[in-house]
Amino acid sequence: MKITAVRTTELPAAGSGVSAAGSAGSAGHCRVELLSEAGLSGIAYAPGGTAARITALAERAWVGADPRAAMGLWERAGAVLPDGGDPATAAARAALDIAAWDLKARFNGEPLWKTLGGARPRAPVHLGWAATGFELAAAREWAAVMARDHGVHSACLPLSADPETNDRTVRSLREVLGAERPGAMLMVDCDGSLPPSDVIRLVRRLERDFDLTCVRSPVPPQDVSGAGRVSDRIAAAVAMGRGFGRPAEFLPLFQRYAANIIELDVAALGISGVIQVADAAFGLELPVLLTGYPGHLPVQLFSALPSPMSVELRREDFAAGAVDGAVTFASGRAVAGEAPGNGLAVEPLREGLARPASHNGTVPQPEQA
Amino acid sequence: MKITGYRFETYLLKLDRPIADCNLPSGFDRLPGAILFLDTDEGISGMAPGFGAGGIEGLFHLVEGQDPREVTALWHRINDWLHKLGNEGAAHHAMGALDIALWDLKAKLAGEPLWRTLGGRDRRVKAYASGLDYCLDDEELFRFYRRQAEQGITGGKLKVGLDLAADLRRVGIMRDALSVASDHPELMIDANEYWSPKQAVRYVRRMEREFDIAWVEEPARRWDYLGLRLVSRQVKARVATGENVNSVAEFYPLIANRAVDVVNIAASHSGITGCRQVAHMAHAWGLPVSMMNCVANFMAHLAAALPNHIGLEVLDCGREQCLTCDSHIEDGHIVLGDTPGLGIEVDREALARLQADPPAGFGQFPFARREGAGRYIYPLQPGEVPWEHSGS
Repeated sequence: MKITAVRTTELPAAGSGVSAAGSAGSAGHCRVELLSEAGLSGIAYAPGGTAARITALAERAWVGADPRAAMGLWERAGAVLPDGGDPATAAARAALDIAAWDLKARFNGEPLWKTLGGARPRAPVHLGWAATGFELAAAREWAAVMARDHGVHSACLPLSADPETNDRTVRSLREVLGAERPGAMLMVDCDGSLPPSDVIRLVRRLERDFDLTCVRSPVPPQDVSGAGRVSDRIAAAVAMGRGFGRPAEFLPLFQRYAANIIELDVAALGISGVIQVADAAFGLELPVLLTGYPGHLPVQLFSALPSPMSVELRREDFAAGAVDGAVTFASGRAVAGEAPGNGLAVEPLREGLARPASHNGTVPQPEQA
Repeated sequence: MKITGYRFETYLLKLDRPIADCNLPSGFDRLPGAILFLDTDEGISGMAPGFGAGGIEGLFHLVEGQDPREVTALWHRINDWLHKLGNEGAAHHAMGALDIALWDLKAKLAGEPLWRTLGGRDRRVKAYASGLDYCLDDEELFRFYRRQAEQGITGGKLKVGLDLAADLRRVGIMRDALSVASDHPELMIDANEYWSPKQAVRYVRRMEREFDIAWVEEPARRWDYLGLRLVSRQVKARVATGENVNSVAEFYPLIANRAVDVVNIAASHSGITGCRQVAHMAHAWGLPVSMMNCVANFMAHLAAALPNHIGLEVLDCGREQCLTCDSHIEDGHIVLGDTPGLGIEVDREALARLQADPPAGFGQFPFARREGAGRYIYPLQPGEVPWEHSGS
């Protein structure tokens, strides 16, 4: 089987934007399709504005190749990119990798999670919001729906520079989510925008009243020593890795033991990169968090990874025009579907509602005690 | 699709030539063999060739009735089950065997060779020759490495450790034998954990006056990360180690403490799933991996799908007497075929003959560590090896 062509479609900014830097953007996205001589197509979504890069990279490393060699093709693409390329190029590489794995799974006639060797995923999830444009009332409304209808009680909230705002936000969302119950996780996200000393001060203040599971991106991605400093001075775990598109980028974190949780950004790493880095993290006993992606694609990977902790559900992936990913939610878990491939639809979801449990014709089994 | 049962075959075989290292210089030529078969309700079976898979009965319940395609999830199920008992001993071997058989099944069910299932792009895997040759005389040594060189193999790994002058001579013989394949063959040496770190430094430095040694394997104990790092810092050669640890968890101190330059990986690292974890960890740390030897070179399937693999150890000592495999060596590479799964079939008649009439031979595997290891060199005794040495 060979990949015969790549097709890209720039889609307008609706609900779901993909950003390789991990923070959800409103810049729209680019649908990527790898076409094959078998008549099957592999689908992925990349940040908007990357169509030209995707096409150029696909023609160098994917078109004409057998998509079942998915990991080898991702490696080959990496070899032709100087220093791994800029973030947009890394995202293009990741999207092509996601599409190739989709083809591989469709060719096998099985869902992606099975192709990856996993059992049907029932992944713990947490709610997440973009750093910009967070509005407490709207956040409470969505969180209440997810808690009531789908049993989601964990969330990652943006950390601001104002301690009063942080207290109000965390207290309010904890209440509406019921996040004090066992197993629920409260996290905060700094998006690398504050100095380490400020993060330490703000988080310590929160830790007087709240049990925070982790602080995500407390420092900019390159500030490994800053991440370590924050980790040493707070009780919560430090999660780093958002936007990293190559295993080598994680090395300073591993060497300095500067992160307690590794964030795996599927939009930057692709599936091949996620597999490699997850294995490396497992070697150091580090759990991994999967950041959000259109159609909740990371849910497909969950059970195939050695130490997964949670999958992020982004608000914009539930909005009108978001990508359909055939994932259902129940009892605080995301359950991947069983249709062949990665579950991503070609056409977006129109209504923008949280998916009911019986969407794909199957009802997730209740959690076993 | 469900796993319904397992079968287990054991046998004894006599190798084409004896094999040895400095812990048992006289060597042995008989090896136990085992094959695990995992059966399914669709009549397709997966297999895992190797040795020592007793203990399956304690773990089989974790995979029975499960879908064999969910191989990494099943690995984690077993790994979690072994939380208290530990991934050790018979359970460790059984876990690895189950995982290998599951991957064979998964690839067969997908109708593709395993290297394809694992996402590999290139069916060719670079090989290097390894004689396990401490009991071969000089002429046999030359013939072995010359035969490998005639297949295009450009690297060789010699067993060393007890007699520096003889080891220097024999590295020269290996180099000369490989010279038909390369003007600058890769020369590796392997001390099988016999030395202390400082013994290793003295020994290797002396060898490096005459040869460009590519790597020194197991120059100190498998867990001695401080000692291994000391060796790495004080010699030019890279330090290779890892074959005798069980899982990625045991590589953690070696890799995190920069005690290894070439990570030796193997099927014994908790199967294909576990071995891949180790390789990916090494890759994240910028380290290459080298696959250890295995019957029918079946781990070449995984090696083909790794980003950082530099060479697979080829013994060519006749372990495949009841097996046929869809791979061959050409131009210094193992070339994998397209037969689904591992590409290995059992020759039932040959197996039956081995089981009915176990061959006679000498020596025993596994064997003990030699006297003096890590403390002093207990020199070769007269007649212990068929080649000239200081004690001859």
